[in-house]
Amino acid sequence: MRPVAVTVAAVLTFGSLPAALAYQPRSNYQLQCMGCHHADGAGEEGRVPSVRRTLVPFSALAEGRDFVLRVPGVAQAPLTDAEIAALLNWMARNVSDVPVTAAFVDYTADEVGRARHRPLVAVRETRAQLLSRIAE
Amino acid sequence: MKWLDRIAEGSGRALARRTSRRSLLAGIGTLLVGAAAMPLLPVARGAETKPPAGGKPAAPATGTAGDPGDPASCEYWRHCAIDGFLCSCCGGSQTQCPPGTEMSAITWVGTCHNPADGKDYVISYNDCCGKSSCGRCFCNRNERDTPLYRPGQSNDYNWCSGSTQANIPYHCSTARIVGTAE
Repeated sequence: MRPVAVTVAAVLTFGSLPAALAYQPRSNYQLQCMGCHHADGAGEEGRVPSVRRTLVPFSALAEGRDFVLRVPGVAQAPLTDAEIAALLNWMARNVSDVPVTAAFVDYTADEVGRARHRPLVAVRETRAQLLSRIAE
Repeated sequence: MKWLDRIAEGSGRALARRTSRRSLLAGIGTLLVGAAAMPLLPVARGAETKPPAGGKPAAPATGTAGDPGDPASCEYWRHCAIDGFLCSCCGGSQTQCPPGTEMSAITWVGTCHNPADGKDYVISYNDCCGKSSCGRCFCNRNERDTPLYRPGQSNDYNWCSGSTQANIPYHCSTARIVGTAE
């Protein structure tokens, strides 16, 4: 039965995409995020927010996860729900000053799909509220 | 406090006996030459190219075996999604800004197919800003370019608006390899 299981997994992962366009999280970060957030995720002071000290703490809050999945760059990225989940889980481990602990809950494609289709209008205000919460 | 005066006087006289007056000039001279020999600006270091793994530094005009083509031509493989003046024709290179311009840190990123090894590479099209348009070697190739409402993959933007000094003019575009697309 093993070949069947492998085929099912492959269809679930890549079934909705042409194979040539499916990249690993690192390449997707470079292609979809790095242009503005820079290679290290630090962004540009006053223009592009840094993800380095926020992504992991935000991910520990239900409202924070909702925010992360609805910011324009994530919600509108030309990537599938599964690719976005893999990308965020990669970012938490590779462009974060705050280390991922055992308590970190990985993003899943289902979770991404539920959140990203509800547009976030008040991006800056929501971010400011979350920043004050993780500072407590 | 007399003991402090004595210590200060003693160490001052000892220093005067040990060192010549010209040694100060020599020290300053060494510092000047040393500083000139090392690039101090982080921008310059960021724009530096590393020689390819083979060891040979990239040739400026014809390219190496792994990086074929002429960086001053629009057909050069890395230019598959560029829109602007080629820095290679403007006193810079495919990775470095011409003197007097600043590389915009915010940019757009795409992929190009390298005919030498058959791999796709992630290319960052950083604009060089701070002088008026170069005007030479205009190149507009739009592989996988997106409309303006998808700004992250659009080459129609003036990315100098994202540089540290906003609103400085666009001069030319580079095509820097970020990594392989995999």
